[in-house]
Amino acid sequence: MPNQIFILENVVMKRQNNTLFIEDRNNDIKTYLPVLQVSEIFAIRGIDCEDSAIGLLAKNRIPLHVFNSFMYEGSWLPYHSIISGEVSIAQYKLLFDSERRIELGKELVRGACRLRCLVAGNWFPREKEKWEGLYLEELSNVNVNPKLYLPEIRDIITEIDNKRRAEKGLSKLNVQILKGVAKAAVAGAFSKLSLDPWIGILPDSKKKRCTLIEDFYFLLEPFFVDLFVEEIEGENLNLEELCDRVKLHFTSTCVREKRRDWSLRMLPVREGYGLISFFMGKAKYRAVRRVEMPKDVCE
Amino acid sequence: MFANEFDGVKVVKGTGESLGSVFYPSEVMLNPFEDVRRAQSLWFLDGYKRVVLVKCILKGTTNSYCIWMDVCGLRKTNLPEIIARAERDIDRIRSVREALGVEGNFHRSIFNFWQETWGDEWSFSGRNRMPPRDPINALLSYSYSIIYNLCVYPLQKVGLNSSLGFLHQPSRGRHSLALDMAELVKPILGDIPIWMLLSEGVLESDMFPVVGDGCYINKEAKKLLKEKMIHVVETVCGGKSSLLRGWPLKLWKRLDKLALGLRGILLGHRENVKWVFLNWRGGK
Repeated sequence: MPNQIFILENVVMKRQNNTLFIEDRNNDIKTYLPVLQVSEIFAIRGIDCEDSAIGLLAKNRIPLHVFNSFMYEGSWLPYHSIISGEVSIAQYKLLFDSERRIELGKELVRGACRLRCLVAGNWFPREKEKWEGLYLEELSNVNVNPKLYLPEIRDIITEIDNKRRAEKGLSKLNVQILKGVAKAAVAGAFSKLSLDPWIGILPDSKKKRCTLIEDFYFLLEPFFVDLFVEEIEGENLNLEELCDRVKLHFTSTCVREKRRDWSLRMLPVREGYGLISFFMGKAKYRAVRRVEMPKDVCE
Repeated sequence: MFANEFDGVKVVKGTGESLGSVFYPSEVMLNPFEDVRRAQSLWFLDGYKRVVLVKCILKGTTNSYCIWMDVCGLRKTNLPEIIARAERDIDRIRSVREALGVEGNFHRSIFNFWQETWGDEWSFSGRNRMPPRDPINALLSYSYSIIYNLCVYPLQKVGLNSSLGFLHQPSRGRHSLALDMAELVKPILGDIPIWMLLSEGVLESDMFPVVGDGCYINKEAKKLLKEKMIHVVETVCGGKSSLLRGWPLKLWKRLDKLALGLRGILLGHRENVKWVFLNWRGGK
């Protein structure tokens, strides 16, 4: 099965013999990276990637996430992952209809608040109601006046998130790093979907973040970021250890269904499947349906 | 970094691949795709507008066949009549279904003309594919697939969703919009070079091995065709230019312009809905 690759040094990536060739000039290391065994690449200390290598990555639907000393800079994504004009048109039909988009936006905010309440309940069992109250108040505002509150909701919820994290005593730097990793992981999930990642659900007052990647990130951020930052808080990890822990965190099981279990890493893909079914008129969309706290966190 | 930039989004195409790549920044400052894709979907979903655009694609196709006619010196045949009849039919189109019928009839007439000219010599009895069963069909299929692949990247570069076509129904696994755009390019980059190669008599029957039901092209014929395609670009687009990814820079520029033209139509930046590969004035 293809794996996530974390590259910890600043390297040059080329296309050679129809596969990827990596050169670490500082340590004089040259190696091939078999393209069929890679699902996505995280270049933690930046990367100098040749045009032809980017093309090869796109052809094989491998996202390349570029970081600068662990600070996320962006991702090279295949322009089209799974080509499906029918899904695209169904997506546009719904998301360019302002009324239906608002209804879907309300559902997304409900899901986002639910996950945040789960995390807050786990962090502060005694003050569970206080935190739930804060999130649910915003959710009810959105339900009462969506046109007014939806464009601002991301900022409002993020403010409550910041307060919650401050009360838990989490390091701002760790949160910042993990936010980047989380966004990269969410962006990477779109290489397995036929959705257009650039056309999103939630309106944005600043008109910057109207992409489906930002929407999924907003929805799943508490699980990707909060649970992990809490886990590593106070530990003195080197870069290699940190990457191993991130990989491990991504494998936490968040949904147990009859047919299969879903890991955290695959949650955005699962949400994508849910949205595609909804866009194609096959099923109602319930954001983060049956998603629960990973067992290892509960224990 | 190492890519072309359009509206702040970097789109890069790997050598020889039809798939492009797009850079998603950590902080999206401007979504360059929202407006153009909204416009694209509006044109697609509005029955009237879609028919206008489909007619525009078909008119562009007949314009390209006029170029073929002039470059290959076919004005004194019955081709002008076939094209004029198709243009009259295009004006009467009221639905996409009708448009597909008109397009089918037009291409059938064109290939009948091919059959009249080359039928006996090359056993060409009309268009067939998957697999092509005679050398001319093999050449047409080969050149059309190259053209289709060439059209994907310029469309992606201007932010259009290449899987959402107007004449060709969107479906899984194909860039329908690239197929639409290829309709305008095929007569010039496909039909002209093949017609020239046939007229010059440089093709030999042993260049087309038959395997099972299909007729295939050997390396030599592929090379001849590519050279002729480049020659035609130089003839039609005005002079030689350096090669980029194996094709003349002038061709890339022309394709970029074509994609930009479609973007302009969809966004309403252009007053007239006219989409042509080249404004051609009777062989000049």
